[in-house]
Order: sequence, then structure tokens, then C-alpha cells
Amino acid sequence: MSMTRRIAGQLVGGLISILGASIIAFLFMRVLPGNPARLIVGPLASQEAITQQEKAMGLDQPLVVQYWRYIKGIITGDWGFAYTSGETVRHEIVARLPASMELGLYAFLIAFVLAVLLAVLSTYRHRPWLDGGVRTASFLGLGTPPFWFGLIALLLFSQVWGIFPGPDGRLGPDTIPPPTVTHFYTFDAVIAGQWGTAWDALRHIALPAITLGLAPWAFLVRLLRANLLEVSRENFLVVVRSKGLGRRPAFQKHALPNAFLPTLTAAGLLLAQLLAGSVLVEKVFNWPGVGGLIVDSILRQDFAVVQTFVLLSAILYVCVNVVVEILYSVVDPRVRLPVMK
Amino acid sequence: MTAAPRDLVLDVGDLETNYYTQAGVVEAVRKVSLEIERGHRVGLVGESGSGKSTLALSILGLIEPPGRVVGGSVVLNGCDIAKFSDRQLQKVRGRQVSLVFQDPMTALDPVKTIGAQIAETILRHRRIGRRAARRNAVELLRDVEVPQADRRLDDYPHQYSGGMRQRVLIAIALANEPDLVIADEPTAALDVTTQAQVLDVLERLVTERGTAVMLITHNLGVVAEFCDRVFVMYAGRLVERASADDLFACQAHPYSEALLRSVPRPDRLQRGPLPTIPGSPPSLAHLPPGCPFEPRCPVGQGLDVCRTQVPVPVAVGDPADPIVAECHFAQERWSAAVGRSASGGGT
Repeated sequence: MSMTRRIAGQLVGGLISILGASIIAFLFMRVLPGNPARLIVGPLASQEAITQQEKAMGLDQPLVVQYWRYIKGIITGDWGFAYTSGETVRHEIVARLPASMELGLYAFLIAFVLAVLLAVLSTYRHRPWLDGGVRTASFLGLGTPPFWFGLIALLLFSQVWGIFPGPDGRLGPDTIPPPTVTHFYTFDAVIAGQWGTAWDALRHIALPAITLGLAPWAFLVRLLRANLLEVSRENFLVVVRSKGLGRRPAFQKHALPNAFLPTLTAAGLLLAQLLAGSVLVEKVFNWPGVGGLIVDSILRQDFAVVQTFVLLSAILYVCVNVVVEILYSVVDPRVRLPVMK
Repeated sequence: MTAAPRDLVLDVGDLETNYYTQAGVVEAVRKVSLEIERGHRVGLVGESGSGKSTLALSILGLIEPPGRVVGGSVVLNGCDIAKFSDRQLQKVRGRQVSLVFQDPMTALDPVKTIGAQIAETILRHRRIGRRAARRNAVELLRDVEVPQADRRLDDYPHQYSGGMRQRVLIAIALANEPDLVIADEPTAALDVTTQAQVLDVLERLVTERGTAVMLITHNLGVVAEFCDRVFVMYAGRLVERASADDLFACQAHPYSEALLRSVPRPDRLQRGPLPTIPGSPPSLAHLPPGCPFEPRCPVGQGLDVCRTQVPVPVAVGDPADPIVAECHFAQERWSAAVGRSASGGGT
């Protein structure tokens, strides 16, 4: 009852955020100096040609009308043209976004799994070595610029030791992309049973995913470690132990679920952020993701691409947040159930 | 007079627990010995920081680093559980001896239902199914007088009030009908009315089951009502032990007297500040060479004997059931008190 209301509230809030994001993206692109119509027709075109182009693009209309057309287009699936490439925005984004999302997903999985594992191992028993190592690594992970880490990783693991392939993007030059189902090469290759392709895709995604996942890992491991240490001092663990439970069941059944709650929220936000792509890491690894496309589009004032991308990432954020909210209510009764009396 | 062999549920001998902190070794429990007879109720009183809770956790083998039990024996039902491994202790905890924790607001896991937390201890020690454990948990909740027990079993701790949570903790402690319950300040966090109700519940249940209780408290009023014997703890030592009646009649140790004086009594409230014990307990990392209470003692403050010599236990009164106090002046104080009451000083 109250849970459905909470989720409904989340959805309404999310819609408002999406609207806000669309307005800001729209206005920003108009406020920036420069005239896209001029860019399209070229530097030698006459004033008349520019005006005509503006009319064709609807730029002579009042802002409200322009905004309304933009929203209507988004809903009806007409996301406009990317004039720099001449392709539809939809085509551009569909070609690029899955690469970013696949990379983000792997980066998140690596960060999350390793964070949980190492936080648990370094706090469950007194292991000064491991704990010190994890703390140092997370400190460095938070402070290291990802593009620098990526370059060093490429230098060592690809150039010097040859363990991982160089920055050829998602696949090696001799590998043909698998038939498209999910747009994620690793998944599609497995679906098609092309194990060689799957292996190649995995090898290619490993280094960029580790690079991209480093900072989120560092953040999560610190958070979870701190929460675990805090929970392990909680009185209810003494009570649980006084019932005759061993250290390990007490930790698994009581300490871990409690320590995990704040991590869940943080992990959700990080996932949304990672799925939306990263400019620098994608550049370092020649990853054909959405990051490069957006930077180019901003520089060339390619309105339609930027607006659509901002809106899509806002929707992604909101969706992840709603999912996290639902998960949270499932695991934490204090959120789900009201206090009585 | 031959004393009948006493049936002891707990016999603690020379128990020592230290905390190894950066500031030094804190001797929280210093060679403490105490016995509890089957079905009896003893009170363990003392200020905060006197080592009461550490003693309780040491008995249960639940001292965590940087603390460690460094010596002594804990004989429970004839077995020295101080020598047990944690695995062996797990079979004892919650079954033969259990704990009622002090702070009900933090003593329950916030993300598990009340029913699950009661059933957990039942399932740990008995070979019964989940359903039977659940029925058992409902009965226990009824026993501790939680209204609508069957409905409230699936509630979470945050849906319970403090008093109700304390009842749940009592239900957990009594779930497997242990021989001894250690109740660590079970009422400290509750308001006075709730305190009385919770104590009534505890008293009724342990009487019905014949459970021995070690009640840890700094509230001597509670002790007077509930306990047969009293142990007074100060700076990691039991400085006085006596039957409850004897202790309230005459305190051989000045600390016990000071403790008793500082109980606010509404029937003889005076103007001015409430009586307190001046000063604070000594640091257990740097104990004074003599009597640990000397710097605060109205009797021995500044006396050479108190400053330099650690008092040994002195037994006074009825040799069959003496008062034992660690004070150089115990004998004198007791004689004087007896003299006062003999000369008709009144009660």
C-alpha cells in the first residue's frame, strides 16, 4: 500500500527530473554562441540561404514552439537529424550507445563484485595485510585520473606484456561483429554460439572496463568497509552471539545485510553514471561509444544529438533510481513499513 | 554446623579480563570470584565503568579484541566453560546461560522480524521445525505480555516501543529455558512505569521456571526488590558481597554506603542537590597502589593504610552467611552499625 505510493511518488519525481533535464538541455544549446544554420550551409553561403536554413530547421519559431516540437518528436520517435553526419539521431545513438552501456555494465560488475568481496574479506577477520592493501588501493583508485590509468594499463598489459589487445575498440580487426540481438557484443556472440568472437570481445572490454570501474570500485569498497566496521560494533550482534550463533552466521545473517543498505543506493547511482558512458576512457581505448559523439556534437552545436542524449541519460538515471528504491524497500523494512504507535 | 553442599549454577573463580588499548592495559575485571545458587537471584551493582558489563560478557565468553579473558574459571553447571572453544561455547550460550541486553533500542537486528529473531535462538538449540519454532515464539511473546502476540510476530523492531523490545529480549533470553540469565541493566533505558512492568514480567517468568538471574544494575531500588544477594563492584573488583537484607541494613564498605545514599528517594527528598559520590572511578589502566576507592572515600581518604595497602576481603557478621568487604575498616564499621541498631537507633 504505502510501497506502491512510494514508487508512484518516485516515478512522478522522476518524470519531473526528466522534464527539467530536457528544458535545461534545450536552453543550453540555444544559449551557446554560434548558429547551427550557418554551420550547415557553410561559411560562403548568403544571408538568404542562412535564413532559409533557419526556417527549415524551425529556428525562426519562438522557443516555446521549438521546445514543443522537440518533445513531440522525442515521444513519436522522431529524434531529428544529426546534420554533421546526415544520419538520423536515432541511428547515431543506437550505433554508439550500446557500446558505452556494455562497457559501463562490465565496469560496474567488476567494481561491485570486487568491492563486496574485498570489503568482506578485509573486515570479517582481523587481516591487517589485506585491509591495508585494500585501503591503499582504494585511496589510489579515487585519486588516479582514469585516462592516465588507462594509458598506463595499455602500456603495460598490451604493449609490454601483451596480455590484452591494444586499443582497437570493441573487437580485433579480424573479427566480424556477431549478429545483433542485444547490441552487446559479448552477449550477442554467446547467443550466436560464436565463442571465438565472445572471447575476443571479452579480451577487448577487459582493460577499459577495469579502467572505468576503478574509481567506482574504490568508492564502493570504502563505503562498504566503513559500514561493515560500523555494523560489527552494533549491539545486536552481541545479542545474536549470545543466542549461540557462531561468528560467521552472525556476520552473514545480520552484519552483512545491515551494512549493505547504504551501498545499494550508492551502487545504483554509480551504475546509472557508468551506463551513460565516459568520454576520456572511451577515447583512450578507441571505444566506439557515445562519449566521443556527444563531445563532437556539442562542439558543432548539433542540437538534436545532444538534446536526445541528455534526455536519454536522464531517463536512464530515473529508471535505475526507481529500481534501487524498490530494492531498498524490499530489503529494509524501516522504509517499507510505517512506525506504529 | 555443616553447611549443606550448595547447588551452584555458576561458580566464577579469579576471573580476569583485560583490554589491550593504545593507552595501556585496562584491567576491567580483576580476579573476580562469585557464585550463584540454582534458582537464586543476585544483583551486581556499581557505577558505569566499574566492569559490570565486561564481567557479564566474560562469563559468556563474548569478549572481543582488544579485550581478552586472561585467567580464571567460569564453572557453569559443573563445567569450566572458560576453557571451552567458541564452538563449544555456542552450544552453551542461549541454552544454559543467556543474556538480556541493556539497550533495547539497539539490541535487535533492524532488518529481521521479531519472530525470526526469537525463532533463531530456538532453532539453534532444538531439533524442531520452523513452524513449531514459530508457535513457540508466539507463546514466548504472550509470556512476556506483548499484546496481540500472533499478529506482532511478523513486525520489525522499529514497530515496537522500547518497553516492548525489552520484553522481546527477555523472551529471547528465556526461549530455551536456560539455567542462568544474565540481565545487563534490563531497565536502564526505560521510563519508570515501563521499568516496573518489564521487571514484573522478568520476575514472574524466572520464578515460574526456577531460572537463576544475575541482574546487573546501578539501581539499588531494583536490587532491593528483586535480588537475594548483592555483589558491589568497584574498579573491576567485587568490593562487597552480602545477602540483600544484610547489605541494606549495614554497608561494611563505604562505597556501598555511598552508592545507597545516592539513590534518589521520593519519600525523603530534600532541598538541594541530590547526594552523589564525589570524584570518578579510577582509570583501570592506572590503578592507585592502595585501595582503589581511597581518593573518594569519606572514611579512609588520605589515610596511610588506605593509600598504600590493597585491602583484603574481610568477613563480618553471621559466619554461615557473612558479609565480605574489601575495606580496612569493614570490621569497625560493621560493629558500629550493630551497636547503633542495638542501642535502638531505629531502622
